[in-house]
This record gives sequence, C-alpha cells and structure tokens, in this order.
Amino acid sequence: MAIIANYYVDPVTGLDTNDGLSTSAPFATFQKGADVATAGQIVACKTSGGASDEQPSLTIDLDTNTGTSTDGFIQFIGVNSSWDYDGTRYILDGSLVANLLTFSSKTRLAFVAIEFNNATGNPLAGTGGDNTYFINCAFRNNGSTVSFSPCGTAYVVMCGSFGNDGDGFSMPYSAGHILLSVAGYNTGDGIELTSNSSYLNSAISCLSFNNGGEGIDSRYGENVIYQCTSNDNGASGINVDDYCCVFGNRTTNNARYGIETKLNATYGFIGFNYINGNTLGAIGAAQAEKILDNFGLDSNIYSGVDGYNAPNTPDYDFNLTADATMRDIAITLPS
Amino acid sequence: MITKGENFSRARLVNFKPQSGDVIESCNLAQLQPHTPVGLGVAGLTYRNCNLVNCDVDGIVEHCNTTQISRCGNLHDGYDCAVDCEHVTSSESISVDGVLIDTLYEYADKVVV
Repeated sequence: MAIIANYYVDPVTGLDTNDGLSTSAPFATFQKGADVATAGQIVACKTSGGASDEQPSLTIDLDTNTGTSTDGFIQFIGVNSSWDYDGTRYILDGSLVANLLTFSSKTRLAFVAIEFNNATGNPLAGTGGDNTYFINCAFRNNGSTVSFSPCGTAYVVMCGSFGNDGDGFSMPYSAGHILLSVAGYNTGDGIELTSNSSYLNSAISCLSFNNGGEGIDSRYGENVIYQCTSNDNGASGINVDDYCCVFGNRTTNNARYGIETKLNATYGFIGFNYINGNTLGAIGAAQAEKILDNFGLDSNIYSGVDGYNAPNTPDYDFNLTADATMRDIAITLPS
Repeated sequence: MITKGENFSRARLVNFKPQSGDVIESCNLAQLQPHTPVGLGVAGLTYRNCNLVNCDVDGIVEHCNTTQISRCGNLHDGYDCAVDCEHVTSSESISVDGVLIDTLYEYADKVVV
C-alpha cells in the first residue's frame, strides 16, 4: 500500500515544477522536498531502482524549514517503486559534493531509509538539528568521517556505515545514541563516542567489524557500551576512558586489546564481556578499577589482562593485578 | 571472483591482490595520498560501490567515490605539512607594538584533480 505523505519525490518521472502533492505530480529532487516541507510533514522519496537516485549539485540546505519543537518532525522516508515503505532506501549520491545535508538550528528531522553516499567530506554539515533521527539509513564510501556533530543530539537506529574514509559513526560532544547499527570496513574507527561533562553517548546492540581503527572508541568518558560485538578491527575492540560502562559485549580477533582503557578507567565498569583472540590481550588497563567477571580472559593470543598500572587505590570493590608474564589474574578485595 | 565488503584502506592495501577479471564490490580502498596506484596492471577489474578515494585504478568503475583529496597534516595525523603549507585558507598576523608575535592559520583539505 502506497505511503501517505505530504510531498512526493520521484527522480525518474518527477518535475520540480510540479506541486509535489501527489504520486501523479511528484517533485524530481529531494532538494525540492526539503525546500517546501514544514514541521510535522512527511516527504516520500521514491527509489529509481538504480545505483544512484540523486546527485545533488549543491548541498541540500534544510534551513528553509519552519515550525517549532511541538509541531513534530519533518520526515524524509525512502520508499520502493510502488511508493510502499519496505526498507528500500532512497540514495543521495554526493560525488564531488563536500557535504550532502546542511542543518540549521531550527530543524527537527527524521530520515528513514535514506542513503548518504560518496560525499567528498562529511555528508552532514551545519549546526543545530537537535533530536535528529536516522532510522534504517546508510552511509557509504564517504571521503571522511561520518560525524553527527552537526546534528546536536542524534539518534541512529538500525543504520549501517560502510567503507568511509574515516570513522563510520562519530558521535559529538553532546548526546548521541547508536542502536542496532553496523559499522564495517571504515578506514578509522567503526563507532566513536565523544562525551563531555553534561551528556553521555551510548552504543547498544551494535556490530563493528573490520575497521582500520578501534571497533568502538569511547572518548572522555560517561558513555555506555552495551551488548555490542566488535571484531577484526585494526586497533582495540573497545577503547574507553573514565566513567564508562562497558557491559555484556563481545570483542574478538582485534589487532590490539579486546577492551583497552587508554587513559584512566577511574570509576569505570567493565563487566560480563566475552573477550577472545585479541592480539595484545583481553584488557589493556591503565588503571583498572572495577574490572570484574569478564569471560574468556584465558583465550586471548597473548595474555589475559595487561594491568600495567594496577593495582590502584583500595577504595573500590575490586582491584586487579597481573603477574610478570601477564597471564594470570589476581583480584584483591580491599581491606 | 567477487571480493565483497573488505577493508583494503591504507596499510591494508598489501592484502589487496586481485586477479584478472575480478569484481571488487563494496570495498574500502581509500589511501592517504592522492593518486596512489591500486591494482594497476591487472586486466579486466571491475570496481563497484567502492571507496576509491586517492586511488588510481584501471578497469571499470561503477558508482564509486573517486575523489582525490590532498589532506593537511595540520588537521590530521599521519601527514607531514609545514605550518604555512598549501592547505592554508587564511592567515592572521598578531602584532604587539608593531612586533609580530604570532600568525594564526586556518587550513582545509583540498580536492585535487
């Protein structure tokens, strides 16, 4: 059944001089839909079925949209050749375009089943765009990190990021959340979460594989990494700083550690993870407080735990030490 | 043979050993420096939906990112650039009492031919 939308885009039969109000008189470009849609409206974007639906000659500027935060989202939804929503994605191809979308401070957007491909830089630009949702979207082969920093708060759900020349998903200093998403064969990290003192980021039930850097890189702490799988990456499976919660993940066959705490894992929690087959060891810990109950520690190629600055102060529930061969683990309860 | 969904970017390029007639699909072959030779001399290759940033390739290229980008070492690790390199887009001299004490530069990566 055809989707009911406010505006329709068909790059094959449409014209931007149409009114775009029906499937029989659709716009030709995503750009035109973005120009006219206002808060609370839906733009249905029909795939051409080819490799590329639309190659914007200019950055698509979303600054023209109007409305307030109570008026609802502007939704851009990719649909199939019958105007049905079945997961088929509408493709924005950015060949020779630095950025595909430019956000403004007023935008409140949801992108469903849209691909952002082949930009020479980050496909997302501008500022604002708080509470931007990406659902069933993909980011492929872009010329730099796919950073959501232009979006402020971003929610990335069931998305993929593949083959980008940088990080697959890079979350900004303000809140960003990645759920049920996949990052693979990117040049940099698969997923990068960068927190600050006011916000936390999260990666939940994600897969990160075969990336050039870390599978999941959590910077500046206060992030949650839960139930993710990180394998065959060029650095550590998961890298964390202070205050991070790394819980119930699986990290295997990464080129450095399964889980690495590069700075200070102060107050962090790393628990109930399955860690196996990583080149340097299971957990590389600068200060390893509250590292407990991980599974598979003995199965790593080099060592179980590299706690080279442990033990730490006895103010925590558990302290962790490693012996000289870094093969045996001793957990000492504080007095 | 079809090679699909692999990461051959940068240092991993040594693992890229295509055979004549291969199809390389949805792979990342992006390199640091513009016009890095990739798979040259192997006949009949097809690249489809690949990241070919900074790659020079032979064969059929279908829907790939073929941009050549000169990146600035003042913005990225792994590149060697002077402070007044070719990527400078603007500069501002700071003087006190007529004496130049500092120069601030802004940089940008360049898309090259």
